Amino acid sequence: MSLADDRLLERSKAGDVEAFAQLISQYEKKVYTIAYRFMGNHEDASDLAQEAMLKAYRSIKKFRGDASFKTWLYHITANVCRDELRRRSKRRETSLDEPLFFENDEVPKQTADWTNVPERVYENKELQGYLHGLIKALTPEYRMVIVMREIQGLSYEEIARQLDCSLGTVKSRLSRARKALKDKIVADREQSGEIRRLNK
Amino acid sequence: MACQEYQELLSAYIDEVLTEEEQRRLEKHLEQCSDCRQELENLKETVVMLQSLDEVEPPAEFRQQLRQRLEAEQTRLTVERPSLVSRLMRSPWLPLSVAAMLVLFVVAVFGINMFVPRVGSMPKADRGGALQKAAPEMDIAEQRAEYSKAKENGIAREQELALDNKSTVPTEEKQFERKVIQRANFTVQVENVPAAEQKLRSLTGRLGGYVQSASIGKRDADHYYAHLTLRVPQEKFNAAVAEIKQLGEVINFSSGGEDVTRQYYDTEARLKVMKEEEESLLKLLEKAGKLEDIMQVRRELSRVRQEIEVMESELKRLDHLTSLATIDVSLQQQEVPDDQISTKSVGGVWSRAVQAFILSTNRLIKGLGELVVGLAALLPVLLLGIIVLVVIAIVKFTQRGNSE
Ligand SMILES: [Zn+2]
Repeated sequence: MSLADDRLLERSKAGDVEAFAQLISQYEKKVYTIAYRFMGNHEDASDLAQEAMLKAYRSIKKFRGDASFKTWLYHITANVCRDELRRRSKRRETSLDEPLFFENDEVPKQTADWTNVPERVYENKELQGYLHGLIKALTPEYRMVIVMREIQGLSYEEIARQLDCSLGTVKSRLSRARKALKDKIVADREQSGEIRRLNK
Repeated sequence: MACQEYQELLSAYIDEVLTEEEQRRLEKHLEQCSDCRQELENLKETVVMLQSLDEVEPPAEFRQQLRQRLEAEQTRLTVERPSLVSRLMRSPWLPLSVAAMLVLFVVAVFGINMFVPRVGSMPKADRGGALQKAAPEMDIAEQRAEYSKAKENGIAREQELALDNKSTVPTEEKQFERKVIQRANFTVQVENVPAAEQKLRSLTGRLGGYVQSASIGKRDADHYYAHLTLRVPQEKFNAAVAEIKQLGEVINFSSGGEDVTRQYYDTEARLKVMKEEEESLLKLLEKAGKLEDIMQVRRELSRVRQEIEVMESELKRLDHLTSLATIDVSLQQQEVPDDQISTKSVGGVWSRAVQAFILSTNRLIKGLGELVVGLAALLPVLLLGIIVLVVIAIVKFTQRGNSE
């Protein structure tokens, strides 16, 4: 954190909204992205990303600085989103034996162009939308570990701590979620290849 | 071990969190089993794709909405912070604390009655003497503290002055041009508002600045007013201020500067570092052959570029704010001289009357409020008094009953 940021932080602790707004503007996009991957749609993402920043503003006096401000802010964001997801699924715990990864028919239809993949994930908006749709279709338990690991880049220990579950649970949930996503991707790609072959 | 079991280890294998033993066995199996190798490749690819998903741009109105919610939160925090009294009132302990207060009160009253005579009989001169002895020592200590504080302030002020004077700026800061956001605020009464507004526009143009915003209007038939925000080059700030003062009678004037020198050069230095990082990442990208490496570098690159973007816009903002000073001017129409009949002051009488009414009403409300508070403070005493009265009445009543 730079000197300027330090000063912004000090002013934010004194309740200065302008300073706080300036401080968080650099992390806004990432906070929004985390919320968007967790919640799946822009409306909820906007609401919860803002909620997270409000929460940070309310509790900034308690921010000690032993973690970086950025980490602290992302942590709050993930917390707010998880709470909301849990509230919505009304504690409907999925057991590990339950074969269902995707909720009913929200699974995205195959629309992506798979030529030159995945080198071109960056330039491929369709593919990005398709992958987002896959994450969104995961049940909350699996979506959470995927977002925390692949989007937030947290360690297994950190995920276990935040979800209040064992390392083993994190390992197996992550493994199952990744496999489900992979199976879907592989199947879709094969199908799209076949369609192209038929079209030729 | 079946392929199925090995495949369950693949996810953890990608993240390198298997035990040594598990890893050794899995790698041995992978050497022999092409199915599992294929499975690993597909899984790896999925993970890489997920991790390389772009960050998402918030909707256009996001920042505005957030700002509104933050400001609402700020007012809520400062205005509605529950007072001690209201928190007490809501507390389930209220009845208990009232009872405790009563007990304390009774103890205090009895206590004072018991001890007051002894305290009173203590020689008065002695107590006074002790106090007087302590006082001079404190004075000297206080004076010393005051003196050194004043000295410090003096030095600090001198240092500030030295900083303000460019020729004596410490060498460390010499290479930096100071970045100050200069602002001034005027309220000026003029005889002719439209003419003064024109003068302001032309002086702004002459000094190489521009009018950022202006509004001119009529309050009533012949009362003009105008508000202008002028931007003039930093070095013309003093000239502009001097000229505006000549426009008419200055009712109100304030000016100040926010020094953002350090903030500016901090950002600039960070930007330089980030640009160098971008450079080296681009070189790395040319060399990177493996898919995973490419993904990693590009991810890093997009992060670095995003930071560069933020810093550049911050510098641009500061440049804009510091290169031009901001001057807000409110123009008001001067009252007609006394030798003419003025109807305007009649309006003034009415508004003054309204103001006086509001003021005295406010005072009345405040007075009533204090009265209520005072009564509340007296409540325990009153309660006790009532209890005592009731007890006395009962005693009297039963005595009378007995004597009859
Ligand atoms: Zn195998």
